[in-house]
Amino acid sequence: MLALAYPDPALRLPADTVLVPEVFLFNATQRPIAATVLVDWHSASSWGRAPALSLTLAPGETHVLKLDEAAAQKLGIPKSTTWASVELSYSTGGGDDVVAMAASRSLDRKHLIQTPFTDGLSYLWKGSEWMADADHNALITAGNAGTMPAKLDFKLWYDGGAGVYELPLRTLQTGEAITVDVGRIITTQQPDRNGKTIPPSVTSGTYEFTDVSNIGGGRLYEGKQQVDKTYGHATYGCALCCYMDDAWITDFSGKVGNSGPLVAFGSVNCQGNYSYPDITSQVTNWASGNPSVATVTPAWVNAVGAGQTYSSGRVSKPSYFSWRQCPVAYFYPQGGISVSCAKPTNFRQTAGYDAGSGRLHFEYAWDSSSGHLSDLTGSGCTVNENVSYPGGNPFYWPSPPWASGASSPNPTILPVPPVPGADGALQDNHSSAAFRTPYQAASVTATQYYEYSCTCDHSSNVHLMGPISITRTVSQNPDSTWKYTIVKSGVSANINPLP
Amino acid sequence: MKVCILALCCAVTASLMASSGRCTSQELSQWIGSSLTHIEKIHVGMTRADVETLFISDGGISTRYRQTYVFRDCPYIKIDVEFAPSEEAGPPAQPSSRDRITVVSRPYLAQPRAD
Repeated sequence: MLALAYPDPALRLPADTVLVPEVFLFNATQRPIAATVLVDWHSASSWGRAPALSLTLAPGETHVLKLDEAAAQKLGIPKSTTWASVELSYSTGGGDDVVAMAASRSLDRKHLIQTPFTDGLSYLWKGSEWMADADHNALITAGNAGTMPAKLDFKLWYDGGAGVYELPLRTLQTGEAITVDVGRIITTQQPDRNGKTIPPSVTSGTYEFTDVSNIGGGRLYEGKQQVDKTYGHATYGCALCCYMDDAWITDFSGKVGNSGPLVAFGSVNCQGNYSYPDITSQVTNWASGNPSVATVTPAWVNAVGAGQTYSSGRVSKPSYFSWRQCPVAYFYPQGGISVSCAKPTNFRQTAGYDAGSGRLHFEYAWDSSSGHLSDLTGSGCTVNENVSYPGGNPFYWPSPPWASGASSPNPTILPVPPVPGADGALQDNHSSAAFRTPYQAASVTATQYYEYSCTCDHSSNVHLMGPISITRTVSQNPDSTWKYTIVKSGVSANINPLP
Repeated sequence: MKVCILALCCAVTASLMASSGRCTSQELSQWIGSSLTHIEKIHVGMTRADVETLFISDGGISTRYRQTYVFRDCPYIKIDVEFAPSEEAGPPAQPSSRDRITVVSRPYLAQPRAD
């Protein structure tokens, strides 16, 4: 809070007092520093922002920026304006590079009003004691140093916290500030947004204000002048900002092909009271620790391969590095990502019967290890059969009784392409190669496995069921005719007699 | 006529069954033409039941969505068919006679799968 040339009556200075506001800038480093100064002025009815200075401070140089009546007029600040906030910006080399102080002395050098600079910005400030009676008054400034409008919720507490006075909710544009004259609110019995007033007997209390439009991310600054007419003091008060001491992203656990939201939270400490606001929308630089496991886009994760990795991002917040001032600092929240493969499981026979004409029909079904068959698509899982025959490749069926040259690939791996894992079921029909006469006795036993393969973990031909014997027999009946029989899993079919 | 059909199958597939040669070339051609006329009536939008009036499942694995069929009168004549599941209640992977054909191949000749 910088008192301008014509002081706020609330300061209770002599009526003809004129102040000379000055800003002192000292370069405490051994290097030149480029700095700019903005003056955010406000009165009860208007406000504005004026670029006041742009300079390079030489090593060890002290520069004094005078903001007296003439200078204020040049900047377009109305004469009736009593308060301003000064915003100093420079490229930091690690903090404490430029020492700044603002003070307003009276022309007769009898009065001095001084407030410190702060680099504290927060969405929530909790102030120390204010006093307002015949000899005291408190002037409290709340300003928006962010780049987005802030919705200010300003409260005065009294009666040991039993009473609360809530100013009307107000939007503060970038650079805008208000100054609350506590004594005036009480003496004029100004009603709050609920129609409530502070009883005239109340002489002290505390305060807090919040950017309710950006919980966890607001950029409000605070200033207070506590006026004590008893000894002629106008001293600044001490508010405590709320700072973030930790930030994290929720863990994600899923199967290949899954996707889902990522939510970021911060741990905000307000004088020992913790809250955990959702800060997802304020996180930038979203990234994955291993894009072959999961890709990360803002607030979203896509699982692409089995493994472990993490999500990460960046967010700037009032920090604990200087707990009274809460300078904005970067936090780098992270969250664990665990991606596994869904696999076919619980492979089972659901039907098996004689389909007629010497054919067997079987049906099988399976589940996904994730509980969702659709996850098998993301994991690249397929199912097939693998049937091997005794002998070489190809396997030639004994002839007769089977047709000359009738053969089967050995092993026979079907179907091509394999069954998508997400289908969850298949049918398997077993018939015979063609026959030829003159028949003669023969028997062939094939060995069958059902298998899966999943691209997500490069698994290949993993047995789901088997070995299963499939036995085909041609034998002679007592009446000299011939019959064909096929048996699998206790189910049989036949052609009797063979034509 | 049945003997003639069997003979045709053998002739077309160069099978060694002994019935080869019982029909004249003209009779074989007539049978092929007649069979193709029936087979080519299977088209997209018909049901699984329609297919199975003329065909039975080939040996080997199939699913509700994809099936290879062999012609009932000659297992060397095949078609590959893809289905869209009907919306009737029941196990989602269980073939239904009301499943609709979405793709049907041209008929082709191949050995039936013994599997």
